[in-house]
Amino acid sequence: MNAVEFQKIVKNITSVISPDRVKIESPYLHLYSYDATNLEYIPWAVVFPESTEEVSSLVKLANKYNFPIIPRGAGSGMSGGALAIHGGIIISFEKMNKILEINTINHYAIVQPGVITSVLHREVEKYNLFYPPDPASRNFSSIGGNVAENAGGLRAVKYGVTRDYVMALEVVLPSGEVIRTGSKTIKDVAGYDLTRLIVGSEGTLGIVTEITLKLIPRPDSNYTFFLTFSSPEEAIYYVPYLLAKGLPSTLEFIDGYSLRAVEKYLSISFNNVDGAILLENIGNKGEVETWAEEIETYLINNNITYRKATTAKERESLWQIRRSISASLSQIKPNRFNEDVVVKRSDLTKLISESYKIAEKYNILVADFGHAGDGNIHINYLHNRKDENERRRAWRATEELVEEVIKLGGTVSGEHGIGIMKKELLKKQFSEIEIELMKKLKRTFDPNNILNPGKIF
Amino acid sequence: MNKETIKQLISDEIEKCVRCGACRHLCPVFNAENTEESSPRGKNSLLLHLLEGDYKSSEIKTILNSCTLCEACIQGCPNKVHTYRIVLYGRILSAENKLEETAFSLFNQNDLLALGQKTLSRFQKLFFQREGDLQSLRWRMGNLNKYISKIPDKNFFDLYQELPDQTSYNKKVLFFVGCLIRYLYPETGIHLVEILNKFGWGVIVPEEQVCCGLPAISNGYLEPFLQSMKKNIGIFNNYNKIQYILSACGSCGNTLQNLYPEFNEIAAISEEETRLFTHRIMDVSYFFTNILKLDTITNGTGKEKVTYHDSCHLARGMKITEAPRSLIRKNATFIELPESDVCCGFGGSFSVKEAEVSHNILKRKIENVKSTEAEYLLAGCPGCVLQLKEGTYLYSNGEIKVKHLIDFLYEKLILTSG
Repeated sequence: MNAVEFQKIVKNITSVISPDRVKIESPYLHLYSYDATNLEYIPWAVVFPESTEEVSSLVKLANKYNFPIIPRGAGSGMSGGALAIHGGIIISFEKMNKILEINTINHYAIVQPGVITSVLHREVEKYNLFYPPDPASRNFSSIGGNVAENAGGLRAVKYGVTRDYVMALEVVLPSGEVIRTGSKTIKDVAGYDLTRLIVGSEGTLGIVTEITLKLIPRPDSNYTFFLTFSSPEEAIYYVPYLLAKGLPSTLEFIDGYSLRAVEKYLSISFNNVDGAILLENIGNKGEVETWAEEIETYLINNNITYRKATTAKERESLWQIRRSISASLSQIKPNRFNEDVVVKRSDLTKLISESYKIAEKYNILVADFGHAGDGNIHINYLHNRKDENERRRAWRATEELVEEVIKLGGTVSGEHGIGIMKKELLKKQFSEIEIELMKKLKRTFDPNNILNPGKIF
Repeated sequence: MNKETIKQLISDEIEKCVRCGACRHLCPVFNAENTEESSPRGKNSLLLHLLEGDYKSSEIKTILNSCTLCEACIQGCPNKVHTYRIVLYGRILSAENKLEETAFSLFNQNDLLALGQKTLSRFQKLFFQREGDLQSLRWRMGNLNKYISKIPDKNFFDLYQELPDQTSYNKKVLFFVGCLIRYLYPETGIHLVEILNKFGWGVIVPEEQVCCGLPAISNGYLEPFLQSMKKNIGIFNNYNKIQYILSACGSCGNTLQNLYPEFNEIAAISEEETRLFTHRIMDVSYFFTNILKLDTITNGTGKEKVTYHDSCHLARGMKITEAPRSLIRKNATFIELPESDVCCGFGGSFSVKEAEVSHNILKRKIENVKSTEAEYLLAGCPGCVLQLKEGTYLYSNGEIKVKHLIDFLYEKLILTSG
C-alpha cells in the first residue's frame, strides 16, 4: 500500500476510532514525522487511541489492508524507533496516559503506556514507594517508550534497567489479538518469558497497551560525592575500587573535554582537573551512612580530591555539572551521534583510550562521559552535520569505535535501542545465524510485517 | 528589520532545535493539551515549514496563538532555543489585521484609554454581572467565560494628583505604571508611592508615559510597539538624573528591560539612549530588598500564611525570585508553592483568545495553591493577580486572598505601624 491508496481506506479507520482522534492533514502529519534523532519521515496518518480495543481494531485493519503501524510514546527516542520510515499510521499513546493502580500491599503500579516516567516517580513516591529506572529523559519520555527500548538510566548500576521492573504486560499482537504476559506475583516461571521478549523489542513484536511495574520501598537517604582527578584514565582506574566498597546508585564519569565544556557553560572552573566522577548512593539510612563513611576513608587514604554534598542545594550543584554536559557540548558543536556503547567495567580504560586514538586519527573532537558504574559510556564525536566532511569523519570514527567495543565483548547499544540508527552496527555484533533467529521470531509474531517495519534489522 | 531578516532570525533559532522533546513537559500549554502541536518542539517544527511556505498562515496562526510567552521551555532546552522569540517573531510575520493593529495603537493614546476606563466603569453593569469581588461578561461569547475585577472610576493619575508633592523629597525614583495598574488596580501604584514616601523617597511618575507595548507586539503588531518604545524611552530619559525606574509589573518590566534593546535598531534609537533607559529599570521587590534594605527595618515575622506565585516575566525575564520571598519571610509565614514558576495561564490576550486552555492551566495552578493551605497568594505582576483572582473564584472556595506583593506589604508596613 502507498499514501495515495491509503486515502481510500481512511473511512475504515474513522469507523473504529472517533474522527477527531484521526489526523490526516499535512501539518499534523509533520508533527509526528520526527523524534530525538531529528530525522523526518512523514506518516500517512496519526491516530490517538484511548483504549486497547481501539488499538486492536486498528491493527486488524492494518493486517487487512497491509499498511505499516508505528507505535509512539513521547517521540524522544534516540534510535528512530518511532519514525514512519515506510509511511503508515503512527499510533500515538499521548491520550493513554493514566496511572490505573498503585498497589501499596503488593508493591506494583499498573499504567498505560503514555504515562511520563517522572510523573510515575512522583505519584508512587507519595505512597513511599519507588520506581528506580530513571533515564536522562525521565521528565519527558513515556513508560511505553521506556519499555519498548528497555531504557536504562543513571541509577542502573545499583537498581538495574526498565526490564528488571516489568512484571506483566498487556500486548496487542500484530494479528490484533490481545494477550497478557507475566503476572503480578514476585515469582513466576510458567512458560516462556514473553515479558522479557517484548521489553526492548522496539515495537516490532507487539503493541504494549498496559504495563505492570514492580515498585520497591522508597529510599530515605542519600550521599553524594564529586571526585576529581588529573586525567580521565586515573578516574577510570578507581572505578572498580569504588564499586568494591558497595554498589552506589550512581557512578558517572566525566572526561576532561566534557569538563572544559561545562566550565565554559556554567562559568565555573576546575583547576588542573582532567577527569571526574559523580558518586551517589541512595538507600536506607543505615546502609548508605556506612557506605559513605567507608568511601570517605578510602578517598582520604588515597589522596583523592573530592567534594561531599552536605545540603540539598550542594547535591543539586554537583548534579548540575553532570546534567549540563549535553548542553555544554552543543555550544561547541551542534551535533553528535548519541552513542551508547557498553563494555565490561574492566575494559573501560581501553575503551576511552581507544576513543581518543580514533579521534586523533580522524581529526575530530571527542567527549566521553556517562554511566561508568555499569560500563555504559557515551562516546561523542562532535560535529556539525552541515559540514558533510566533518560528519563523515565523525561517523567513520563511531564505526571504528564500535568495532573496538565488539572486540572487547561489549554491545553496540546499552539503552537507546537499534531502531534505524544502528542497524548496520548490529550486524557487527551478531552472527548471521543469530540475526536470522531474531528475524524468524519477528516473522512468527508478525507474518505480514505490518508492525514497525524496517526497524532493528 | 524587514520580513526577510525576521525570517532569518526565526530560521536560525529553529535550526538549533534537535527535537529531543526536553521542552514538552515544561510548557504549560502542552501540559494542558497534551498534543505535539501544543509543545515548543511542535511549534518550532511547524514554523520551519511556514518559512518554507508549506502551510497556510491560518493554520500556523492557531499554533502561534497557543503560547503564553512564559519562556519556560528554554530552561530545559539543551541548545537554548528561544521558542519565546520564535513565536513572537512568528506572530509579527503572520499579523495582518489592520483593524486590530489600529486597536493596539490606541494603547499609546492615554486620553482615549482614560476616557474608555471612565465610560466602562460607569456602564459596567450593562456589560458585566457582579459575582463576589469579580464580575463576568453578561453575555457569554461562545465558550468565553471570563471573570475580571471591577473597573474603578478613577485611574492611577487621578489618585496620584491627590498625593502630597513628590518633588520635594531629596531621594527620588521614577515609576513606570503600566496599563493594568494605571486603569484596573490603581491602588497598587498608590500603595507603592505611600510606602516609598514613608521611607523618605519621592516617586516621580511622568504622566505622558504610555503602555510598554507588549500587548501589541505579542499579537504581532510591531508598529504600535515601536511607538510605545520610542515614547517611553524619550520621556524617561528626560529624567536622566534619577537613578531608578521602578516597575511593579513583571511583564512591563521585562519588556522595558529585555525586549526594548532587541528593537533599538529598527526603532532608530541609539544603543546608548536605550541603555540609559533599560539599565535603570528595576522591579520594586528588588528595590525594597537591595536598595532600601526594607527587610531589616520591619517588626519581625507575622503569622499569616503566605504563598507566592512567580510571574513568568519577573522570574525568568527579570530573574527576580529571591527578593519577593525574602520580603514575605520577614513579614509573614512563607510557604513555598509547588510549581511556583509555572505560568498561571494569563499571557495577556492569550487568556481571551485561548480561554479554555488558559483556564486549564489556571486550574492546575490553583490546585497547587490549595495544597499549601495558605491564606494569601501573592504575585509581583498585576496580570497574574487578575488571572489568579479569577482562578481562586472558579476553582477554590474563594477564601484565599489574592494580592499584589505591594498591597500586602502596604497592609503590613503602613497599617500596622500607623
